[in-house]
Amino acid sequence: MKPGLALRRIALIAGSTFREALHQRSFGLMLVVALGFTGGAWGFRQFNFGASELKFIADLGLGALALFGALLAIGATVQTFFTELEGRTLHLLLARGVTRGEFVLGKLVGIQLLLALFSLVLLACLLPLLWAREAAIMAAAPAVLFTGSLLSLSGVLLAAGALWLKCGVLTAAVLAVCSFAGSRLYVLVCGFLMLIIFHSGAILTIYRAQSSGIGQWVVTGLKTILPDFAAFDLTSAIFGDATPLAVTGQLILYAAIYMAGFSLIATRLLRAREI
Amino acid sequence: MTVLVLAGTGLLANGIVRPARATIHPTTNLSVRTLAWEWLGGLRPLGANLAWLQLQGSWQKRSPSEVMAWIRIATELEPQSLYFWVNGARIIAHDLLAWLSPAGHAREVSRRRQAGLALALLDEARAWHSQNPQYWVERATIELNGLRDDEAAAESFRRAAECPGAPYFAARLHALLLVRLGRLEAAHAWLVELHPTLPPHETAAQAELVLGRIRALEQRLNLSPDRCYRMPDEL
Repeated sequence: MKPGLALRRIALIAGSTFREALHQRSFGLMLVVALGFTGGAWGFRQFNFGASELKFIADLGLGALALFGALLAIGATVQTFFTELEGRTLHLLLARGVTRGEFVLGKLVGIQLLLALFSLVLLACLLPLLWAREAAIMAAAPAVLFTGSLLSLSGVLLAAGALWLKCGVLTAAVLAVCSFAGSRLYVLVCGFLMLIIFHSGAILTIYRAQSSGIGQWVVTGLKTILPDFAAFDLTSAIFGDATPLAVTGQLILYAAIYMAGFSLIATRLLRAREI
Repeated sequence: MTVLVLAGTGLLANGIVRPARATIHPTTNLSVRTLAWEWLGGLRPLGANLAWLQLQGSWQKRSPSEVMAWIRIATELEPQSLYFWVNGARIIAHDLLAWLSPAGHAREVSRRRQAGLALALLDEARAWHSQNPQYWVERATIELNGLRDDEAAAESFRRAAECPGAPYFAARLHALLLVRLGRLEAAHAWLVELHPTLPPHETAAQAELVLGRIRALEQRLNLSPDRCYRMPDEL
């Protein structure tokens, strides 16, 4: 098998997946709702009691990116995978020499491209909003109070990039479930549960401290195996907390390992599946 | 085989990357209920604000159970914001007490019970805000006016005064409460330590007032001249 040919096949499947997912209603719906939240931060700030205005807007924009990006990752993956399966194009691809691994990787890359587009559109809305409010706040306050910038735009990009990686891990996990599941609904429910469970690393830490014996072993095992999505929260970078380059690199490695692991599982399960 | 691959992936990812992540995401002493909302991510502040708006409606209806529930939801959704903790604690300690409005001894019992509930709420906030002087000032206020516990309030004002960016009055109130508790020497020692740190020309710092209190305490304690406080320029 030539690596160049395999890469070309992966790229073709990725492109096809991207185009198909782009035309789905779920993408448009998620984008409109997420844009509504991000753009609506301007109006929602009237109801902000707890945090500073810029933090509230940044939280809301990145929150919309994280939640609706994750829902899009689940929905688009399920939709494109089962369309291939039910439309029997998967049979055609496999008959033409495409391996299951290439198919899984192509799907993963295609959905990641879609999520990248989703993130870029939201950032294109969020960044001008943050910039405009920062300029307005600094103009209204005495010059001695603020020197330099109130927030780091590169921090916003870093935080958004981390969320994109998180969605990638979720996509790979959903692909693993897709590869053995019989219905879309089952995968959608599993995907949403995984989204919650992968955010529960801190809860597992507490339970591990409180439990003993076999319970402690089980919790430790779960904590070791499952990805911890809290690691992808780099929102502190927005307000000047410098995130070391090494941490960013390790986060990319962390996501890459999980994406590779879940892709491998998806490939193995797809091989065992009767198509 | 699938489980083995998953275990291998987890061990590899967590083994290599976890140490670096642990340093930027400390999660200790947080309630499970608070962490259960993690998946909402950055939408949590919006949810907390909406819960707080709902609380206003329940407050107007004077429904203690609803108000308590909305305070709980707002603080669980956005624990990083001291606003919800402090104002929630105030509502529990003062507003709910006024609505219950029993008379005589029952009012005293209610006041203590409500103060206890408010402090229990603030206990949960400690994981997030133990370095915020406003947190300790609020605790002290409830301990003082709700529990009538001068000892606990003095300790909380001391904790507030030791936080970075603390208001100057926290340190003065700690000393006043020590005086009220009869611990004049401790109050004197505290003020003597405090005075040199106060900027002389800042009104809020009240350096002159603090010096006056030091002198008054020295008189009450009948301190010999060599044990009296001497300002840095007198040395």
